[in-house]
Amino acid sequence: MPRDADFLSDGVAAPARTAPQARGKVPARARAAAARGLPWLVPAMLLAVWEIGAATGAISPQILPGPGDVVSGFWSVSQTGELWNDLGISTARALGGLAIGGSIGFALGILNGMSPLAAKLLDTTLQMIRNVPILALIPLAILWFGIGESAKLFLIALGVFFPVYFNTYHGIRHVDAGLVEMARAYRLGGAKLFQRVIFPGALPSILVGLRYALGIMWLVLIVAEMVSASSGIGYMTMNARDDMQTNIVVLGILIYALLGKLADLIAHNIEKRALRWHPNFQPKP
Amino acid sequence: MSGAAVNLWGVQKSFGGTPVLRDINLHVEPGSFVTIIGQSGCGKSTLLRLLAGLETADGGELRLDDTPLAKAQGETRLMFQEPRLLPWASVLDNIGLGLTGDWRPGAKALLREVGLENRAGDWPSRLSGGQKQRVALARALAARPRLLLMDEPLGALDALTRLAMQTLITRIWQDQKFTAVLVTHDVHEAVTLGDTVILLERGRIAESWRIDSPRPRDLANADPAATEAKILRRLLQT
Repeated sequence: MPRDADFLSDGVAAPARTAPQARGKVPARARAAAARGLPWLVPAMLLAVWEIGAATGAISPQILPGPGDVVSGFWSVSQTGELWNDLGISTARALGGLAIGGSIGFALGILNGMSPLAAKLLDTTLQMIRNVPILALIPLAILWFGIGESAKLFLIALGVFFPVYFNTYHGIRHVDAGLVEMARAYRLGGAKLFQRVIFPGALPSILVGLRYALGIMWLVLIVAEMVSASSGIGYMTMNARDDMQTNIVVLGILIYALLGKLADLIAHNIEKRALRWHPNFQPKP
Repeated sequence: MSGAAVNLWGVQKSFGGTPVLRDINLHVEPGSFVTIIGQSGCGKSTLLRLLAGLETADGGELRLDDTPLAKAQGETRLMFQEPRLLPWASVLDNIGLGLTGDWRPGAKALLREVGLENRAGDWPSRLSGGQKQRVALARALAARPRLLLMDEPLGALDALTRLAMQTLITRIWQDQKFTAVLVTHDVHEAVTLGDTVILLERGRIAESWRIDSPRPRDLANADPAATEAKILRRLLQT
């Protein structure tokens, strides 16, 4: 966010420098507020068009129910507790899959990054598996695990595994060799070398992997829940489709959008905290 | 703790069949300052990396006092051409790299010595090139090495910063009395800093000069200036 704001205020401030000094503090503050609000301008306009379209009957409620309909749909499913139950189940699946796939990917990434022998042994195989589209494995996962929780956990874990693995591996392999040499010359080895030099050096790349993984996590979860589940937001959405409750379908989509944005926000904040040292994340002087 | 004596007999090193160092015999007195000059590719950096333990010799013997060099690595520290500070560690934590026990007071004192006591908590990316190299110097000194090796540490600095660093290095060396070996391609720097200047040519020590004039040395100093002229003439012959 601060980066966006900087960029925008720079763009706005440039003409102000040549303008007469008459402009006081208030316009500057107003411009800053406008800059903060700017990213929300397009969503707000879309919402307005949607509402007007639905209210005037230009958009058929069967195609796309109005925002009011979606809100009342939200109200009804949250009253019955169905929404919260499904939301909880979906979140648990997502985080469970992330934990399993992420930790395996992280561990293998470190192993292959640190040991050329392990990389030689495993990397080609993993590259091959990676090229299989994850969603193509859904039928196989159902055959193996049935439609229970394990199938969904398996798919999410597998989907999350690859971005975490590759970015961890890549990050460790590309730690500045000069720094590693320096650290060895300064008597750092083994766990200390990893903890003080290799891991922090690979962290920017690992966190990029985490952000990718979060995106894939939601994607796989949605599809898996739509194909085979008896609970979760994806199931709720598919069920609503069968009953022609378009407003609940739209609600499900909006919830996924919000969850995705939330996950990204959390990942971005972790990045900002963990990479405070990085010039990209430092406040501009 | 005082400086260590460095003794090399018949040291050889080749890379992929190409000899880089042939039969190096070098004897550095404890606490003295030796500068090594030579054109690029003459093997001067390799010699320094051998002394630092980053490479192993193919033949010959290397000793620090009476200990084989390989077993005395704790007593040497190397300053690289680039600062090589850990960008994710504060200036102070960089200085304490690899140290154990209560190293903070010593590290702070060193930071004061290099004139950066108010930057202890900063990230290295906030420092200028000269400041980074001063932190790298403090880091090299933090383990109280008996042999300090410097691989063109001032090569990337601007002229004024470089002069200031030369003065700083001289002062700290006189103060702490470690043995110093500095590799440089700058003849002026070599005669300003060194007691002995060694010319390395095609992997051999071709010539060496002693400079006894008192420090701090500057341009008005006749002896270093005369030696500098001599060395330059010698370099232009080849």
